Amino acid sequence: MAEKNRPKGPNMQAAEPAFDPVAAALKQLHQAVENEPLPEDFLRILDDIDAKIKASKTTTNSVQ
Amino acid sequence: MSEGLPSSAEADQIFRDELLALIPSLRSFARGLCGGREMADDLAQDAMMRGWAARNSFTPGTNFRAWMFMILRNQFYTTIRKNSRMTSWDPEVAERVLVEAPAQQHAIHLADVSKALQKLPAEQREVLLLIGANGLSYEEAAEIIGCAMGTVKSRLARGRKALAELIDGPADEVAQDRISIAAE
Repeated sequence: MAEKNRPKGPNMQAAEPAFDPVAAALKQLHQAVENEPLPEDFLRILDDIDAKIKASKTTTNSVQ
Repeated sequence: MSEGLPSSAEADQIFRDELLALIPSLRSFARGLCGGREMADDLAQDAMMRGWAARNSFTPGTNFRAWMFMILRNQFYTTIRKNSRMTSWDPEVAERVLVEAPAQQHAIHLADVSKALQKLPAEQREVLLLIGANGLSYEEAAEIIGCAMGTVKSRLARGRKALAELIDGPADEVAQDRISIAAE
């Protein structure tokens, strides 16, 4: 990421929207994890959920 | 006619889709809380399954992310309490971060931020993660944590300060204008 400058001054902490390197680093860390491909384990949980939804649809339909 | 039914297949399908969309954020929040990838993914999966099991107590149209984050967070603290080896306090790492930081020539390295984050008290870390990383509002963070907004704000301020000090050393003379973010 390109270097950004922020003005130094007494109100630096009070006026928040100014560039904050720590906040920027937190966002980058967050995005790095978010961009990882989903591990298999997570997809398996979704498969289980899908199976349950499918089963409940079948039940609902037969009841109606 | 399915409206209002607690567990219709349609409602379940919507819940499932929202859950899927939220997995990256859940993983990220868990990673920030736990540090380690494996432990974090276990926590995120646990939260998913608990969320699914408790789906009937979620009110559609309300803040799903906040609801899931709350489940994940509660589970994190429950696990920590049960298993004290999970606490991430490691004085040696803190020492290393502090010693190494001045040599970084004002560059923040993400790995250092990640390490430093794990040194913070969990109550400060979670606020930094929710607001600083995930971009949640003070209100949402307060709802998730179950505390007043003023508490969220003061924890955020303390957390930021502590994090900056862990990275740069305890100086009120942090050369903010010269700090750059090193992406790797």
